[in-house]
Amino acid sequence: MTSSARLASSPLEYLAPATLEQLLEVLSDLGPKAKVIAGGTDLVPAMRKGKLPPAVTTLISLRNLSLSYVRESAEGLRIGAATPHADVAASPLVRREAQLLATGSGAVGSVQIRNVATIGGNIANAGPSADTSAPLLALGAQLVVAGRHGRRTLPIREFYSGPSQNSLEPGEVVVEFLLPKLAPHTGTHYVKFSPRGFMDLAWVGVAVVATFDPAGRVCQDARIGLAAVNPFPMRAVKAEAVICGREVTGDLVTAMARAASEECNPNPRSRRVPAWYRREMVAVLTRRGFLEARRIATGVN
Amino acid sequence: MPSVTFKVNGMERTVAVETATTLLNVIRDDLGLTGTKQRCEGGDCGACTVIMDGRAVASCLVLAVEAAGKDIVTIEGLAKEGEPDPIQQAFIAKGAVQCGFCTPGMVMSAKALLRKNPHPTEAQVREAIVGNLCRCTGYAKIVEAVLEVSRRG
Repeated sequence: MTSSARLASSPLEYLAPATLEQLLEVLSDLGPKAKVIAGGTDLVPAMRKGKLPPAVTTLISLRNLSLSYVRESAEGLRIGAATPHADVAASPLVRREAQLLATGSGAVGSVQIRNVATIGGNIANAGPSADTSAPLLALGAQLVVAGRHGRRTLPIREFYSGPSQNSLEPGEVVVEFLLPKLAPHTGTHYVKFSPRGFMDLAWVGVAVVATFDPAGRVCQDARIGLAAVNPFPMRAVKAEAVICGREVTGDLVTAMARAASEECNPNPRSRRVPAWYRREMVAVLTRRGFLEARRIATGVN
Repeated sequence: MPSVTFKVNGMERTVAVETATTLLNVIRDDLGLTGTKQRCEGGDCGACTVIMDGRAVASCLVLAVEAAGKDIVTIEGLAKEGEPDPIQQAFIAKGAVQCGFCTPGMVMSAKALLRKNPHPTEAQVREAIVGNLCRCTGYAKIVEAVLEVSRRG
């Protein structure tokens, strides 16, 4: 007996459009009958669990659209939505310009998963603990979204509209991530805190992107992304406000960490991880991430 | 039913497949290559690991239609003219095989690693097999076997 009977309740069509225009036309024509497949590492297990919406008749593949790339541009780093995590993690450009994103992609699953799963799929699924979400939030990344109307760009903060919900309109697809250039003396750090350290979802994910004066005395800018502690990935804006533009002192870092801990909203009904524990770890990891970002930016310990 | 063409162990194969079929099922059921194992079907255990375009992948997560035009190597493709691959030899020599169920996947992950990084550290070997579960050996002999190949290589 083969497994194919379990992947879908009725035969599915499959299209692999050769151009973005063709993709958008098909998405527009088919509406809810179409489901986009990128790497497939979330979609295929979901299909096996019977979670493909009954309206879906056709899978639309991104495989021929050349959406796997990491390139420099005048505006910053551009990463194609269909770039596998392995490529993001190994990219010398990402490691140099946005190191915490390489860490985030590198923390996903296993070698086998990272070779196929894409950064676009990771974000578009809008999972609250996605490993690239907190880094992209802290980087202030923009998403480039394509639809029949043309292209639009939106900050990643505006992409999440609810638990596992994104703000894409019908017929739209994410095609690229744009990472703005970082100012000099900016350090980045991402910690994925999870019980096994691999092949699991984050219990807490904390991403910090912080800019300092060369002596590391003053924090000129700080952005903190949090994953797994809110219905969707979030920025800890209150924590950022505590330290932005201020001289870095032990008390202030503690206050910043405490603020992050208080503004997140871990699931109070989680049986796996008590909410109070996640809050505590947000404080610990925000402090740790911030100080590490400062060390990377300025050498100051 | 659409058909898909890809290279398997150096030979071009064309198979009629349903969209909702995995590469794993095509390899095992249509091509009769049962060395690649079917177990968790969730991308967790790694028993289904094959090398696709040079990368170790979980074939239970790859739809066969998505593998069109790709170059796939399964465990059956490692031995050259009946001579076991050095990795296979090292697994035997080091006692890294007990029930043998994880072994094809482990060997393929090791193969993919050593092709990119012929002299990995122990940490890199362990990282490479994070996605391959073994319930018998405790992993130590498997890691030793891979390091042995890199020492000799």
